[in-house]
Amino acid sequence: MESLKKIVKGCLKNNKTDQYRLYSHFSKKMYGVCLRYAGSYDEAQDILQEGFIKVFDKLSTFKGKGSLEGWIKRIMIHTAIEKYRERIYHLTVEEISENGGYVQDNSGPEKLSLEELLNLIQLLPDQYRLVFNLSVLEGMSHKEIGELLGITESTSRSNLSRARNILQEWIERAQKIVEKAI
Amino acid sequence: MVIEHKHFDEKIREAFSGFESRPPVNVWYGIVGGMAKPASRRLFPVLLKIAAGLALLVAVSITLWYFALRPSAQKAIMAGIDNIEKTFENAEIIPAENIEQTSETPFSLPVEAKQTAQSINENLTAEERMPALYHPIRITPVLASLSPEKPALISSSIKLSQEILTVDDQPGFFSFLSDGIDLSILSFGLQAAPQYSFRNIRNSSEASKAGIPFESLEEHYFNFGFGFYLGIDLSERFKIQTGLNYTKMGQFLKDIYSFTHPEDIPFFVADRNFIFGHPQTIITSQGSIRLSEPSLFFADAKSHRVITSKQYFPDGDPDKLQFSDFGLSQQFTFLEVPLAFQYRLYEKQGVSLHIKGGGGISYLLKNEVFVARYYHQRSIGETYGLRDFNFSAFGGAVLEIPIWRNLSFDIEPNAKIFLRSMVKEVRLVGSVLPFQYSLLTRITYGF
Repeated sequence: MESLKKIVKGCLKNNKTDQYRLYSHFSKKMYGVCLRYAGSYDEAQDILQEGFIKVFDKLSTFKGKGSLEGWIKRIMIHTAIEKYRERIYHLTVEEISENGGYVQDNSGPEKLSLEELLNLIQLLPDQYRLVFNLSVLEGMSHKEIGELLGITESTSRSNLSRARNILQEWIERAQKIVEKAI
Repeated sequence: MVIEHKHFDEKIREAFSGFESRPPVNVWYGIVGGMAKPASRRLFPVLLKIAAGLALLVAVSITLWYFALRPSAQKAIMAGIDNIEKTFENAEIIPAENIEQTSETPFSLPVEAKQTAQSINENLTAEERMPALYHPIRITPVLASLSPEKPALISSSIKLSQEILTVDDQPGFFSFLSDGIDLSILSFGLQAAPQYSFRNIRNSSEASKAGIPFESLEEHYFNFGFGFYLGIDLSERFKIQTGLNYTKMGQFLKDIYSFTHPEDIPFFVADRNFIFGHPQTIITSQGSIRLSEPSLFFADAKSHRVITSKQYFPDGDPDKLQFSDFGLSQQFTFLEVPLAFQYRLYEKQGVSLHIKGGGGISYLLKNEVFVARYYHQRSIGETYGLRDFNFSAFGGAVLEIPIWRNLSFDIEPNAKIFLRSMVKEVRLVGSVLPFQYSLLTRITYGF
């Protein structure tokens, strides 16, 4: 913990070595977070990159209230949401409706692993995935999610419900395929 | 249903608790690149510094201008007060239409005089009050009107003027700007100069510590500078000069060869801080050069100034490298505010010869390195560890030749030396002071 403080001090002085140390310390966990929120591995890498640039840029504003990990995680989540908003802004109506046909049989013959589960989450439509992550994995209320994403509470509820149903269906299908294969 | 959902959510949470994944290595390079990008942020302080420099220049100019004027203005005012005091006892009130409107004064009279003036003015209608009461204050007309023939006229009109000239109304520090004071002491000009610059290695034994004979491996640099000039006459012979100059200094590095690879293999490596960069650094007497052009590889023909990173193993066959250019140019661009005193030695038929000397503050605007002497091409690197600010001392001569009306053509041979070395840390080479010779030509307008 003491060494982490030292690293943060170094980062505040723009010391590249300490910046790399901080990145090494948190990158795996944060990449895990980004993978859950992103629609693909490439996008997760973009979120991680942009997120860490913000972390180094705004580190001086971190006053030690709460954990540094939690603070960095919030930055990653907000970056993911910003990315989602940018994408929505650039998508045409046709593209959005095409992506609305989300049901794809992506389950493979391998045993359903965490990576498989992650792939399934990544296949969810953007807004469903965000709401699912924020609600199930971050434990946020629908009111908070609504404020964060600029949607109503009822939309958040319905998105979560749809996300669950889709995921459950995909997981069942995938598990059946795995069982057959075994 | 709700229980089912809770169970499902719990399973997902369990699955992802402590979920980690190693990101690919290129993400870190992206972060480093992203942090280095915001050039616009760095631009702001530069502009701010330039603005501060200009503000300083204006402030210095105005202050000098003011103080250059002040002695003569004060002398005139004191002479005026003497005359007024002498004539005041005989003052008479005369009709407004007979009072000259040139009778304004910038100084206050005794309280009794003011009271008298107020009581007089109270008895006048608005139409009768003199326009002179509402005119701006001027020094010159007062002096002109202090003629011995009209003492009463002068004093009475002054009294009336004072009715509105309370102490607070006295001219302030900057009032001379609007008071129409003689501007003949000022001159402005635009200047350009061919410049020869190089450096002086103060302690050559320290230079030899590096084992590199910089003296024989580096050459002078030739370029042009230009700027804006402001001159203020302090007396018949003395003048003070300032302005703003855009000037370039530097040196040419001999015997360094650059090569390109026919297959366009980039020369790049990540350093210990995981920053991508060119694998080579070049040592010079004025700092070390970090290269940024991945298509060029360098070799030193005469010494060991080119250092290649140990971790670097070039892809492809080094024998295939093709010679591209010879030498490198190190260029430093400065914005400079000089302050010089000039003394006139000789004058005949308007042509005058002066000597001058002074100092300056220079701000490093740009720092570039070019292949060969191709200054017009893209910079291929930069010297690191340079000072942002430096101080210089200079001296020279000025030949002023009048050309038409208020315009003159000036020729100034100058010599300038920086008082501090270009680099912040001088461990390797010792103190190296850049210097410059220039032949400045200028068109000056004298007011």
